[in-house]
Amino acid sequence: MSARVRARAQRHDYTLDDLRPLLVQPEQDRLKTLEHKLETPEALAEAIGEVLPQAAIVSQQRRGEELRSAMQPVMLTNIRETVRKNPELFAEAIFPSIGPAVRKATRAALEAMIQRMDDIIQRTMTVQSLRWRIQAARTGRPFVEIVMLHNLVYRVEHVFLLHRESGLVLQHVAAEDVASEDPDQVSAMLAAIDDFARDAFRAEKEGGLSRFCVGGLTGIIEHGPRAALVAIVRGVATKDVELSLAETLEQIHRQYGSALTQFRGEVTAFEPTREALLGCMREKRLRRAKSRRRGILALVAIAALVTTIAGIGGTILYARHQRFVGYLEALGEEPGVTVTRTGRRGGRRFVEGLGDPLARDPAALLAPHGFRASDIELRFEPVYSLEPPLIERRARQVLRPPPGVSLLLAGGTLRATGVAERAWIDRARLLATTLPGIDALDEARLFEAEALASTQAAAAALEGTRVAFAPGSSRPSPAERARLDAAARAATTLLASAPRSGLAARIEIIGHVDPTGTPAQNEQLSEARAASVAAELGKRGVPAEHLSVRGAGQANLGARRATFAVHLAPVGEGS
Amino acid sequence: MTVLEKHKVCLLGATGVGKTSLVMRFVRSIFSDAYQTTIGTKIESKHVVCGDHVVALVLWDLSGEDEFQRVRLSYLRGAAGYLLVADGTRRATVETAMALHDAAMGILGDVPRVLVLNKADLRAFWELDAAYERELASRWTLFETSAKTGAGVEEAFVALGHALLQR
Repeated sequence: MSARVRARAQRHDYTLDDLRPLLVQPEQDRLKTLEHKLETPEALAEAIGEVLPQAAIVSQQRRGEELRSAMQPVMLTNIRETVRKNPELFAEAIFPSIGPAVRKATRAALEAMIQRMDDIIQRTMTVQSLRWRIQAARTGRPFVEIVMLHNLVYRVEHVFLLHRESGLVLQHVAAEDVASEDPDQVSAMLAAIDDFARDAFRAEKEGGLSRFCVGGLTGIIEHGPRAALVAIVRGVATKDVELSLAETLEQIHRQYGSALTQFRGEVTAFEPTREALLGCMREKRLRRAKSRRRGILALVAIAALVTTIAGIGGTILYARHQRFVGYLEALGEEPGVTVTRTGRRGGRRFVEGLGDPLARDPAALLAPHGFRASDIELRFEPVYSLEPPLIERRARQVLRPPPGVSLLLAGGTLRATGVAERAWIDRARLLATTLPGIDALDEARLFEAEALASTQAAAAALEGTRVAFAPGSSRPSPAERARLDAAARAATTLLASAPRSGLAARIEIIGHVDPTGTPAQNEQLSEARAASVAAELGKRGVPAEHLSVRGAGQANLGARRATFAVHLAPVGEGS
Repeated sequence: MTVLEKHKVCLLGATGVGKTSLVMRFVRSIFSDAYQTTIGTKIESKHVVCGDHVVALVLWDLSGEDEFQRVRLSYLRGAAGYLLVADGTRRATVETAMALHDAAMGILGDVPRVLVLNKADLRAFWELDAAYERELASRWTLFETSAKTGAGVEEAFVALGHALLQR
């Protein structure tokens, strides 16, 4: 106790300040120590340093994400600052992990590049490219869309949210056009395989199946403490997918931590996670100017090819059309054939019309115009044609003229020319006018074969006849009467039948003398003898205008007689 | 009807008791039986109607237990219940079922379960005496089933579904 205080104590005169040290000295000392700790940075740092690890653990346990959220900006700034100020230090720190990371990224990039190159090769003017075009035409989707569909770097086709412990599906989303099997069974089987793999290889508990590849599909599994996200990816998935899975899984754990911990089968509680899972349904497509140019080149090439083919096809088709027109024109010119309709039926040309059975067969005209019988369908209804060539053909078919008879149609008249037997002529007379298109039969120049024979026989008989005379006499001896009768009969027959065989007959009577007389006498006598025979024939009814006489005179001296020469000439050429 | 809950359920039993045959007609499976011999389980699913709701059961049909192979107990993890199957004509299979039950209890705790005595169509050949059956019935939700006729199977699943829903 100080002297001043002792003095005051003797006077019983204490102040509060005098008493405070006596009463609260220990507390004041502690307060001072605390003040020292709080106000002296070094001491404060030492105090916090002692409890910081424990505080972080407690905070993590009790306040969940708050500590992490609070620390994150500071740490990020620190890291950024450290890297900026001392890159070597950072490089040293990440060196052990950067090698594998680079290798992994390079491998993924290479795989993607190989796949893209493969796609390019497959796309340019290949059968596949054509197939895509056909697919585009068939589905009505733009070609570009089809190409894009086939040129995905990757596409997430399924995302499963699994309850880690039971393997049950809490949520599942799938791409629209992807068929999905029972997600519960698929995910349970994945969980079983995961368990199996861990058991079989005694993997540590925290690990697990993280990636599997089946054909073009890759399964990526992101494990969390209570749940796992599984993405089924077509193509070469980049790190983006894994990153999005990790972020989504963290978010789900933050929002549904207690629901996951206390999960007893109530899957409806996880219905809202659908949106988050949809966020993982990523896809990456190829975008390359080069390939678009190739696409255009391919299009141009196809267009050129199509144009060429169309040109060649057009030329062939035009030539074929011209041949068809030529064929139709030929049919039109053909007597007895009438074309009524032409066109195409079932891709095949057809020609319809009317055809006389006696006309030329339309099928026979196909080959000269370069068509096969199968190229054009011909349908011709049979008709009687009244065209002159057909009428003539029909007349010939019906009348069957014998050789030497020709038929010719002029107007409605059928002119028959030549020699035929009477029976045929009679039949022709009967039938000709019954034929369509024939009004009359002109038979002016149609002669009977029988009449001709009769004429020729009579002419031969007459020319074989010799009428004898007595020496110096100009009159036939009475003994010659029978011969004169026969000659007269033959002459009559001749003159009657000759016109019927189209001939004009002239009978020349020639007188002959023996060599005894003088030439003048012989001339006179020979003429007299011929005239007397003519007179005898005249007496027997032979018209004198058909007879002519001539004396042979000195020219042919021999027997005393008269002979006959028959001159036949076609009617109209004069006698 | 909406799917209210979804549960993992395990099918346990000795080899040859007819687990797979039993459920074949009542479940939907997209996987081949071969998985049972390769990874030791096969997954099936079964929807059980409970009142206005449907409980989806994802069945882990575990390969049978015998002297050559053990049930892979890690597959029990996360199961909400289980179905023990035994063969009435072989008393030993009931004992195997009980042993599996003990193992399951160790992993899952006291969860809903039913005991199924299969091969009811061969009841005349059963090795279980009446007293033993009574004892089982007193301790278990017990069903007698026949894979051959399908009798009792649906009932066993429905009972398990109800028990899971009421937990």
